[in-house]
Amino acid sequence: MSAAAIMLAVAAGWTGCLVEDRQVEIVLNDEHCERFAEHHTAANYVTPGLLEFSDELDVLLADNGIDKEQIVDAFLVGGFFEVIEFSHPHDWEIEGIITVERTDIADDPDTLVVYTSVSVEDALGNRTRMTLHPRGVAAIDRALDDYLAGGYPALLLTVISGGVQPPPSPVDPLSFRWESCLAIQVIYTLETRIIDPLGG
Amino acid sequence: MGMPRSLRRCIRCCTIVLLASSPLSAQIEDHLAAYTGANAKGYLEPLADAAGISLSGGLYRGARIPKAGLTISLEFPVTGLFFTGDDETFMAATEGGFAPQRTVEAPTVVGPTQAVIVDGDGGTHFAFPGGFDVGSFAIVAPQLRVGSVFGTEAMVRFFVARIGGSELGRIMLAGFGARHSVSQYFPAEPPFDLAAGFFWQRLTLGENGSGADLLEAGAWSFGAQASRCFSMLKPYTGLWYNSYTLDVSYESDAGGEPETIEIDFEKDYVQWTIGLELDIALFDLFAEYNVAGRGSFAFGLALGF
Repeated sequence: MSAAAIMLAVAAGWTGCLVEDRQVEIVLNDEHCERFAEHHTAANYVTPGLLEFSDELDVLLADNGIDKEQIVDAFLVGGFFEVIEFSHPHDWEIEGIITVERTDIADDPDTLVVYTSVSVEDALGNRTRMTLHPRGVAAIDRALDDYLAGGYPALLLTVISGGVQPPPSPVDPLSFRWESCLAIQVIYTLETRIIDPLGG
Repeated sequence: MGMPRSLRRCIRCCTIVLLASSPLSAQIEDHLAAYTGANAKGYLEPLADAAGISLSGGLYRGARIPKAGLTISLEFPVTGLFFTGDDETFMAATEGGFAPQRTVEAPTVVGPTQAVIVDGDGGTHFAFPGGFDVGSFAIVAPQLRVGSVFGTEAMVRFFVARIGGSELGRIMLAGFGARHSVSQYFPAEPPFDLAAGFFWQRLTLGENGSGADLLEAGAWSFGAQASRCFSMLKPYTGLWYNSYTLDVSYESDAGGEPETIEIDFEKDYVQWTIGLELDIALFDLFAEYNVAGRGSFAFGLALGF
């Protein structure tokens, strides 16, 4: 048997034996953002924003070529806010809450964020982490579970102002645009074959 | 004259083995997408080490280099290492707005396949991706050695192939070097042969989302080696100074916006090699073990005269 044939046999047998199946858990990151335009002449205001939650998850899965059946888990990781447009001679300090509720089913709003003494000027262009409330986190995680189970949840975020300093008025209106983002992770299983060249 | 059919088959088989690492590289970017710089470095470190160290194996099989005359050797060294338990995990830090900041033991690229999930404030969670559960790393580095002029020989390594279809990019290994006989200058016939040489290599693997190489490694080796022939057996040893750099470039959205993450690895180390060659007519079999901070091995076949 020639040297080449020996090499052939060894290599073919070697690679054939050492191909192994793996189910690897891969993590995808996703962010769901909603922009709010605030223009108010009074301190107490309410601003709703509909989050295209399921649509964006559909896009995430399609972009990564994943079926829902491959998903092991999905959950909320954290949240950010950032003022994206503000131009005023003086700063404003705001406080209030952000609630989340399902619009695809009968649901009560749950508190997602409680914010106090936030400077609008300081938040301009400054991506800031939000401290999330357990009830709101649970509501979003339930929505993710329902999505994975075949539902198509829609989420309504509502900003409920609790106070503005100095108080806005018709001659000095509070006006800015801001964005709230929710960071989500999706864990899915990838079935793959690897070659462990020498075992081990 | 065309290449003999048996040799083409031999090379094709070596190609299969060389590509052993490519499915891994093709899917690594999916895993890395969850990480920005610091975590990605820890996640990839065992693979970077393995690739860098493996490049320095199988560079020589002895120190005898004739003063003159044609010598040609086509060689197929398999060079690699086994991963240890320490390679399976690294200390990873949470990212992406997760609070509180936590540092936990998470799988590396060669570690367990299960993701690791930690709990945070308000019922939030953060997940670290699993690894591929790989026990070893090896590459075949086809090389051609040609001599000799004034006791000097040259060697080139080259291999290129597309991996898993055009969307995954290609693997390319290229390198060149030279060795010079030192023992030819000894006044009397020495009890062993002595040579010194250098070798440079570049390995690129895969393609990231922006079309650049996912992984690029460069390695330099300088050193001296000694050997002695006992009939068909030739034990050899050598002391080499090796240096490698490895750059990884990938697309990540872990920070919120898509961005290109670039991480670098660099290592210098001294390697002591002990090996044995069996000389059977036109082909030789050889095996060696390389002692360094991390042990590695090489074995293979050489055809030539």
